[in-house]
Amino acid sequence: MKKKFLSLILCATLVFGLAACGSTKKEKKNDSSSGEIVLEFPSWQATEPGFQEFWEEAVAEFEKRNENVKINLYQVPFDSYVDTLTTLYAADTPPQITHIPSRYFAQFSDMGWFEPLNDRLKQTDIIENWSNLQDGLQVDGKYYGVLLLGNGYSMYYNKAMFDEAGIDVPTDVNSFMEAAKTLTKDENGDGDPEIYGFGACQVTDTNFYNEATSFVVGLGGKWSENGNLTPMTSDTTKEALKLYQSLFMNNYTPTGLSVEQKRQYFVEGKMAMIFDGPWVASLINDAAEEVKENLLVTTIPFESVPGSMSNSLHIPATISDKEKELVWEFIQMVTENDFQKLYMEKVGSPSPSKTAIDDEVLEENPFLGQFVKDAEKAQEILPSGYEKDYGEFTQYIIDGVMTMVTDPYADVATTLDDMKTKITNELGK
Amino acid sequence: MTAKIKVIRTTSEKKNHRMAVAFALPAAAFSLLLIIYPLFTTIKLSFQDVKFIGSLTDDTAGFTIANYTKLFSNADFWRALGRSLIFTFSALSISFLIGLVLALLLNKKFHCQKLVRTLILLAWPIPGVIVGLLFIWLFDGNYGIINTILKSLHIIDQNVKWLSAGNTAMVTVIIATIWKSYPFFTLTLLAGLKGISEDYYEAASIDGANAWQRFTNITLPALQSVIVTSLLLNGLWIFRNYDLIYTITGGGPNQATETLPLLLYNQAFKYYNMGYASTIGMVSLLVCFIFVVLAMPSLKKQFY
Repeated sequence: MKKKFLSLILCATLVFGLAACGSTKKEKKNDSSSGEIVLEFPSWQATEPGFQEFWEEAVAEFEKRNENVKINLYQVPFDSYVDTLTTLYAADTPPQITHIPSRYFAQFSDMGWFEPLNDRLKQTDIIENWSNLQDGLQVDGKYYGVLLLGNGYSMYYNKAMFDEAGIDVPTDVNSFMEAAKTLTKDENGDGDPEIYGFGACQVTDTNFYNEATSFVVGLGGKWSENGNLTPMTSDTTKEALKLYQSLFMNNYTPTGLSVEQKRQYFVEGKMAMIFDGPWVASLINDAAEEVKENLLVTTIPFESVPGSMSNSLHIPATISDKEKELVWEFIQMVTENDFQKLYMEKVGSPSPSKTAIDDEVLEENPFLGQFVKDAEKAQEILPSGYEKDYGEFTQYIIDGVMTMVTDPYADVATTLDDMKTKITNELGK
Repeated sequence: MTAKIKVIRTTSEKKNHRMAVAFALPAAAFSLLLIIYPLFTTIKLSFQDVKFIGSLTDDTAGFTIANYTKLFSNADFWRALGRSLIFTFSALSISFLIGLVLALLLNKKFHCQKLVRTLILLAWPIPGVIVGLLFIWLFDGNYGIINTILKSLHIIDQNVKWLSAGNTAMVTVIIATIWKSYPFFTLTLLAGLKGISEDYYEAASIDGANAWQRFTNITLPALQSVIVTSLLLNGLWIFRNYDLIYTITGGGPNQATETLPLLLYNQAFKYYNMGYASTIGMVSLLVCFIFVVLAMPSLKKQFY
């Protein structure tokens, strides 16, 4: 009897336990009967220094303005962020406040996941006052998001290394190559430099694409124009990639670096120059005092400044109208000048708002002025006409350029022709 | 002609049978849901031209074999399959041999045996991503400690760019996989060795058998079922391994370490070709099924 009773208890516990693991859609939807609405807001910035303070203040202010609304801001690591978001959308449980790296915008909007915002934007002055990079969030004349950060890539350099070598910070491509050569030091003569003049990524990820494309766009080339691949095999693009290749062939840069290693080695004083976005400034802030004061930033010494949309806010198409209104209200609040100034103060990156930038803000952050200048001149590095195929297109670029910068260093012109043929065959434009 | 005997169960046996079914049913139903439903969905997707599950702009009503024709005519797929097989067999065979040698050593009594056993097994529970990050820094082609050690031993004169060249990148991921998987073999083979009676070895010694003869005629036959099971389990794990390779090389340089799981992931989550990715998944399932079929005779002997 006792055994039977115990068995029944265990069985019941198992069944109720399994039932409790799931929850009904009814429970998940905002409970309108109690009046409280919860807006889910995952972000890779939720616990990043600077960004965390900004978002927490924005959330607190929004909740103050809307009594029965709570925002659940939570961290998702960047490496798995897009996968997590994709899974949420696929399961039809998108986070009401959707924050994405903008390079994935076109692929998400191609699946009908985002709400068009033209009618809402018309009632504001966002489009007039916002960075031109906002146009990248358009599809067929409709805006599907609001840009939070659009940036140019800048050149970070170690001033002490330049002073010790007695050379000036480069201002054009020739002086850049000369500096990369002079500042590469192989003190024990074993063929492996201890210090490198330049630091480049060389792993199979989008950071490698961004860096290689920075050289191409910076030197006047491009991969495509409105879906036409003719620029890929232009002389300008070839020359840019030959220059990029020469950095690896001549050992002016370490090889096989991930972007994290590149930034770490730069801050440790193992490399004299790197190209990167404004987010490196917070890493420099954490560097050792004796190194920090020598780590400065200037414009990339090429004819154009490469750059891109970085991240943006969007509204899912399938949430309720009430939730859409609230999310739009949150986005509008974040675009207000006060919040954009707070963004620049906390994060140190340039606001996309042309009216939020003033002398007071620039004074508080020594690098911000440079970032603002570079953002204003930024030329988009996303492939024009292939935004919806961003993942696949960039992979072909990564694979092709990797053969150019890895021993035995494939011929640039031939490789570009092969890349063009492959992309035409696979993506059929 | 044998007469059929009807087995009559007692009331108590029937009750026990019902109780066993009641306990097993929820877990079985849960497992069925977790395996059958996704499998059915994957099969369905492999016959559709679908960008992603949940896409509001896809036409999910169509049926097509285009994904399969594209897959089998795609050179990238065959190369990824070849790499997967080379990667699996290399990592599996070497980690098995290391595991076997260590199991044989740990089966002997010596000072600090328990500590040594713990240290050897330490690698196993470490997540693949952490192992990957560890190996990125160890095998860094510029400042990594592996190059420093090899240079100090005069084995190399210049740094080896482990992760920048195709061949060395594959060697690096194989080494990382071996490091992660040999403890599993050590553990299972050691457990198997503990189950072999000492009497057999004593009798063999009395009959004049040397160490090699005792190993090949007693140890290996006694461990056969454990060897097959552990090779199958670890082989499937290595074949399906994604996180370790993705963390170390991302499938590069230039697809040199792009195995089937990475190809599948790229197609599904980078290129948003879920239909095509499902097709790769079905082929991977077929390869794993072949592994299981090959091991089936030995598994049948062990379990049935």
